[in-house]
Amino acid sequence: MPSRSKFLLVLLIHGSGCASQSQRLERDCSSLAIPGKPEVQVQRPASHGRSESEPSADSVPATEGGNGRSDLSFEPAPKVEMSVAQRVRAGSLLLYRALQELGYDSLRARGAERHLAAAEACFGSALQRSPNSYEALLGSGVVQLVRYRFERSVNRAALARGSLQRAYAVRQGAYEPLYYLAELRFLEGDLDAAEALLGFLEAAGLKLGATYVLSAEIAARRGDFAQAEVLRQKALASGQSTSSIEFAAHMHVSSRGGR
Amino acid sequence: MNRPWLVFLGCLSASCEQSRSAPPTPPIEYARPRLIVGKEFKVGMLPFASGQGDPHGLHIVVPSMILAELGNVTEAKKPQRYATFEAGVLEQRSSLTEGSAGESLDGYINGTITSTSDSQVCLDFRLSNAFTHEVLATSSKCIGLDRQGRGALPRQEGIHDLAFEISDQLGQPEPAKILNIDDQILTIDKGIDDGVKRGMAAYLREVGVAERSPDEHAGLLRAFTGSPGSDEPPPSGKGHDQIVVGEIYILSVDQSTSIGVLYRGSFPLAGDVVEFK
Repeated sequence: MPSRSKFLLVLLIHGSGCASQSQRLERDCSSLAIPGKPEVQVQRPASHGRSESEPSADSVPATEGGNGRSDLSFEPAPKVEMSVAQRVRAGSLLLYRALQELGYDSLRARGAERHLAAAEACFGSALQRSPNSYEALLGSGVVQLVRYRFERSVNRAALARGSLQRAYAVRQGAYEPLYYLAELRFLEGDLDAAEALLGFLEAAGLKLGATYVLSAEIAARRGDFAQAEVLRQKALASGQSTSSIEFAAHMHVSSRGGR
Repeated sequence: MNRPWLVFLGCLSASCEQSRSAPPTPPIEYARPRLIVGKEFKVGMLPFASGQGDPHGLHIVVPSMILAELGNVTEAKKPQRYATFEAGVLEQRSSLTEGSAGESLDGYINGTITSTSDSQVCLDFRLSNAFTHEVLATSSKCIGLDRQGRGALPRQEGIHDLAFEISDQLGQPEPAKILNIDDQILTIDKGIDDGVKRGMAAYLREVGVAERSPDEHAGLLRAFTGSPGSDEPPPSGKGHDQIVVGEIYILSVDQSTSIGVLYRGSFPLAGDVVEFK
C-alpha cells in the first residue's frame, strides 16, 4: 500500500473512533457512577478559603474516606436520579480534571475532551432542573469558554458569555464569572474590556494568581513587556493557581531566555 | 512536499501558537455555600442556682415559667426577637450546659435565687453569649409568691414583667456592612453609637441582585461584558436577596466600628450585610 493511502486509512480509522467516542460522551450525567455518598464539607480556606489549584470539597463528590478527590467512573451505574447538587459536584470535578489535563500546553488538550463533554452534560442537566443555579451556570460558562479557546466559534463565545452573565446576575457577591468573562474578552481580542474586568478581581483580592497572569498577557499583547514581567512576578508571588503559576514561570523563563 | 501538506502543517502550527499565547483557564473556585440559619437570637434557659435553701424548688420553677412567658412575649413581637430553647431547665434532661451551649445556641440565660421568703422570691439573672460566655445583660428582681397548699408559685405578672425585661435586654441594631476582613476576623461599619454590643450575634447576607435596581444591574452587566445589553433579565422575586453565608459574633466595639469573628461559614467578604439577630 502506498504510504499516502496508509496515512488516509489511519485518518479514517481515527475519525470513526472519534465519532463513536463522542456518542459515548453524550451519555447523560446521571449515568456516571459516583463512588461514596457525596457530602458537603465546608472547609476553611487558607486565604479567604480559596485555593485555585484544587476544587473545593463542597464542589466535589467525596469518597468514603472523605478526601474529596475520588475519580468518577464512566462505567454504567445503577440508574439513580441525581440531585442538582450532585450533578453540579460531578460537573465541577470533571471540569477540574479537564482543566488539569489541558494545563497550559494545548498539545495535551486531547485527553480533556472526554471529561469536558461529561462536565457539560452534568451542568446542562443541572440547569434543566434548576435554571438559576449559580454553580451550574458558572460551570457551564467555563466549559463553553474552554471550548471557545480551541474552536474560536462565535456561537461558543455567545454561549459562554450568556452563561457567565447569568451566573453573575444570580450571585453578584461572587466575582468569579467576571474572571472568566475577562478571559473571554481577552480571547476575543478586546484587551480594554478584559483589563477592566480584571480590575474588579484585583481590587477584591480574589483569584489573584490567574488575574495577574492574564493581566501580564494583556500587557505583553500591548508590547509592554516590562509591565508583563512585573505582573508575572506578582502572579508567582501570589502562589494561588498551579496552572497559572506554571504558565507565569514558563513565560518568565522564556522572556528571560529570549532577551 | 506538496501544497496541501504545507497548508495543513501551517494551520496546525498556528492553532498551537494561538492556544499557547493565552494563559490557562484556571479551575473554578467555589461559591460560598448557602447556610440555613435561625435569624432570631437562639437563647436557652439553664437552671438557676440557689444561694439558700429552696424548699419550693423555685430554682427550677422560676426559669421554667420565664421560658414559657419569654415565648409568649417574643411571639407578640414582630419580627420575633428570640427563639427560645429549653437547655436543661429540668435537671434530669440537662443535655445542654454552659459549656456546650455554643453548639446550638447564640446565648443562654442563667440566674441565681438570692433569697426566698414566704411572700417573695428574689433573683438575679444573666444573659450570656454562648461562645464567649461573656455576660451581655444582668438584672435583679423580686417577685411576689402565691401560696398554693404547702407550696408557693411566683406571681404570673411578675414573671411576665421579667420576661419582658429580658426580651428588651439585647438591642437589635440596624443592619451593618463589612468594611474589611482578615481571615475570619472582620470589621463592620457600626459600633457603640449604633447600639452594637460585645457578644451580639449576627448573620452575614451576601449582597444579591435585589440590592440593585434593574437599570443599575443592566448597566453593570454591559460594563462587565462589553456587550450592548444582556438578553437575560435579572432574576427577580423573593429569595435572591437572602443568601446567608455566615454567622458571626461581635468581639469588640468602638464608637463607630466593631470587630466580629466568623464562627460559621467559609469566609466573609467586604460588602456583605451584617444582620443582627
